[in-house]
Amino acid sequence: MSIEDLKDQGILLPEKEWGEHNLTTTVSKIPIFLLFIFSVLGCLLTFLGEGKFWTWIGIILFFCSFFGVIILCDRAIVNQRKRTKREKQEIETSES
Amino acid sequence: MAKKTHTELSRDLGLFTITMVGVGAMIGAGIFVLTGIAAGTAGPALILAFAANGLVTFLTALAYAELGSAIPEAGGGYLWVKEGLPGPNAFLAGWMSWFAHAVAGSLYALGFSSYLGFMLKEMGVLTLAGIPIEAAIFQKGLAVLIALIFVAINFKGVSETGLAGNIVTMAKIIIIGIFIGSGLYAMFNEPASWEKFTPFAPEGFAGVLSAMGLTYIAFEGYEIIVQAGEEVKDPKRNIPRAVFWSLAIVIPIYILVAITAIGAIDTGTSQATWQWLGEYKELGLAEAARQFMPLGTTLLLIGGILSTMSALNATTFSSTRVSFAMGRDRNLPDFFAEINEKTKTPYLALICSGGLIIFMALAVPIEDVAAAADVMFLLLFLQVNMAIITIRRKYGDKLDYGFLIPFFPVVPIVAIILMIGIAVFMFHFSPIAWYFVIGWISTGFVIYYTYARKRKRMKSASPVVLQQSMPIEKERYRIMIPVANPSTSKRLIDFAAMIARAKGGELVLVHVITVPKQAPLRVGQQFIKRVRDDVLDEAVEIAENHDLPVSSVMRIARKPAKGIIDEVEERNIDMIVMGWKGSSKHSEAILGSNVDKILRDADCDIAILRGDNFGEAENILLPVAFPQSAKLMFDIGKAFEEEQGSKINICHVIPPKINNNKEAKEERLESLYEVINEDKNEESEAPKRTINVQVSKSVVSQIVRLSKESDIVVLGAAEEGWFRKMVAGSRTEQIARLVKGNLILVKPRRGSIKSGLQDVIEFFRSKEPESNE
Repeated sequence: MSIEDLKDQGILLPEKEWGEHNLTTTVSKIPIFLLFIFSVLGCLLTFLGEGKFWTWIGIILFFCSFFGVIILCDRAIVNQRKRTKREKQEIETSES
Repeated sequence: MAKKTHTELSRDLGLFTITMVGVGAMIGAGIFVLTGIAAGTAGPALILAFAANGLVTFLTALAYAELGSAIPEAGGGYLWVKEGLPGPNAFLAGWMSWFAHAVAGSLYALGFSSYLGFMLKEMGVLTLAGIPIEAAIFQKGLAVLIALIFVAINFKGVSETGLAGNIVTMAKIIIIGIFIGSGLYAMFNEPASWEKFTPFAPEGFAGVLSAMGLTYIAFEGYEIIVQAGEEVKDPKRNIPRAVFWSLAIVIPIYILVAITAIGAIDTGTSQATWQWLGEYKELGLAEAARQFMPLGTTLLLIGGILSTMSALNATTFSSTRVSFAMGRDRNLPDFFAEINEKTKTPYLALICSGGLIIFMALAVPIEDVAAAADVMFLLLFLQVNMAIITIRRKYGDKLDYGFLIPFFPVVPIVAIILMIGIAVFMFHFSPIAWYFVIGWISTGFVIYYTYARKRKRMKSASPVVLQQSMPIEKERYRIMIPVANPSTSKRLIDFAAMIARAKGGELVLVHVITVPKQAPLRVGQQFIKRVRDDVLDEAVEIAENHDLPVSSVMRIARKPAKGIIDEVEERNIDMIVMGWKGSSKHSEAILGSNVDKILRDADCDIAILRGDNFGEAENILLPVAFPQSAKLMFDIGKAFEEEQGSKINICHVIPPKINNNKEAKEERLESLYEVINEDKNEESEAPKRTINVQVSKSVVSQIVRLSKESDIVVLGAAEEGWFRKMVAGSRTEQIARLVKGNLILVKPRRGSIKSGLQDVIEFFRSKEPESNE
């Protein structure tokens, strides 16, 4: 497959929009980083807890932080669509 | 221009439905078949193995969310690898995907036979046709039989989608839900249950890693979400969301299954529950259910049988489709793409895939089959994580993303490292699985290099449509001149003839008729006569005046560079002489997209001429820098000297820092002297050539200054460090733009290993997307 094929299948942006969209993520970086680290810490606690109290705390920490990571990604998807829509409008406005 | 029609599936899957498709694909045979085996490997730390696998798989899920939203086409991972990675990767992705799905099919066939055998035993049937149902021959035989049944079903063209598929998905989710609910109920009613988790990791961290590798296959179902991308409503939003939500649902379920399977059972002996589960292997979950779940064994057996059947159907279907696609892409023999006229199914691809499923089911024990499938999926996802980096680089600003990975490219790199770690560690668990994987990949490489690559080249080759040749001597130095415009061809031919005389060579004149992608290549044939009369005949006449052997060729291609590179490969061309106007239409191209491609891909000496007058040169400047290009530059200078009596000024510009370092300076000059005095020996009477050493802080401006006193500058391609090139651009490019007079840019032939390596490096470095030829 090539750029022509992608163009034919309507996968690429219109040419006038090439290079005009922001390529930085809309995921909140610091919160997702912290939550991911908490998920890893949860796994670590699960291991170090030796099947006792801290293992279950680790599992709960993992569940909560992993769910938080998913929520952040979900919000980022919604924000990404909004941003793309806004950028498209700006391109059209600047053209006209 | 004819309007193109683009076939699209109707988009009718919403967020909930597509999330359930992913959940259904994950909560399936993997969890039913592998929980017992993995518990026996990791102990209670199976919980941790599932959680850690969740994190590892989440990193790849990020890649699937980004690419699935940007390129929401059926094909998913295979398509992205094809798009994002060079050389044999696309072939290998398909080849590995075929094996991975087929081996997963073997796992499910074996799982099915175990579950059915167990059910028969529960019903009091101990032998069937005289064969004890617990005998290995019965289990393997049943696995072969069910695989054959699903080959037959797939031959009829019945797919697993539709109402039956949805019912099966809901049934297994309900059964697992009851399993977890009753297990937790039993645990909370028996405080001693919570003591069964100590010791937590009896096999240490190695056991956890083995269990992670073994159960990885149970996490790869989100791939199905992307595969169904063309049918999803608002795919840019719903595909990435479904990928994440399916994981958010499935990972807690897996962890809860592990907790209840280990905590809710009572072995009745001193044996630990995880060992008990491990002994029952793929039937561990069914045996566990017997103890705490109403109608436990029966329900679990029904769930297991339904899951393994639907998974076997799906993997038979997908492995067949992958091998069919490879046959259609000419990566495998054409018969793989043959369709049965009556059933409209790729029957030969189906037979081969069925054969592979049966072979693996017969040849290898169930845990090794699972390990082989896991390793293959890990390697496949590893490729996807590599592909996302290059796709973002090449197409990033042209794609409409629904989601962008945070901390890019650190996240895919971390995912790659983790997956390599788990895959390599699987050798510790199952060396047999790795032998099969290595054998399969090695066979893939052999097929690619001996068969698939050649066929692909043949498919994309630019056909020769006219050839007028003189007898060609093999050992002659062959110089090719692409001719397009009669007014500029003369200076190229005269220059090439001068080099050919100096080297005892011959000339090959090539014209490439270009046909746009929208039209078939045969359209170019209508231009053959006109091109021959207007361009080629005149060029041949000029060339023949030089009393040298001349041949001429006309090719049809999508782009001139493709025709020229094909000619270089087919006729073992030693040198290309071509013209350059001195500017590029494309901002991303350096000398022009065609010239850049030829410079990058043609494996021969290249001389690019810019300017009008190469006939009466008095002074030739050769600013040598690297021995590789210095040799070719010097050969060209010498040809001018012999033919036109030109005076050649070989100079080398060094910065003051190197000039002050005597050792470094001598080392540099020594290698250059060696090259330019290669033909001089001790007895040679002719004086040795000298190099005019210039010291300047700016190499570029010093050469530009010297060029003002010369009629022609011969400039070699730079072999500079990638960092310098990335930051400041190549010196050759800078000098070429600043020198105003006649210029000859030269690039020597690369070695074949270097050439292959450079192709790979260029692929990853280049920001330019691949183009159809």
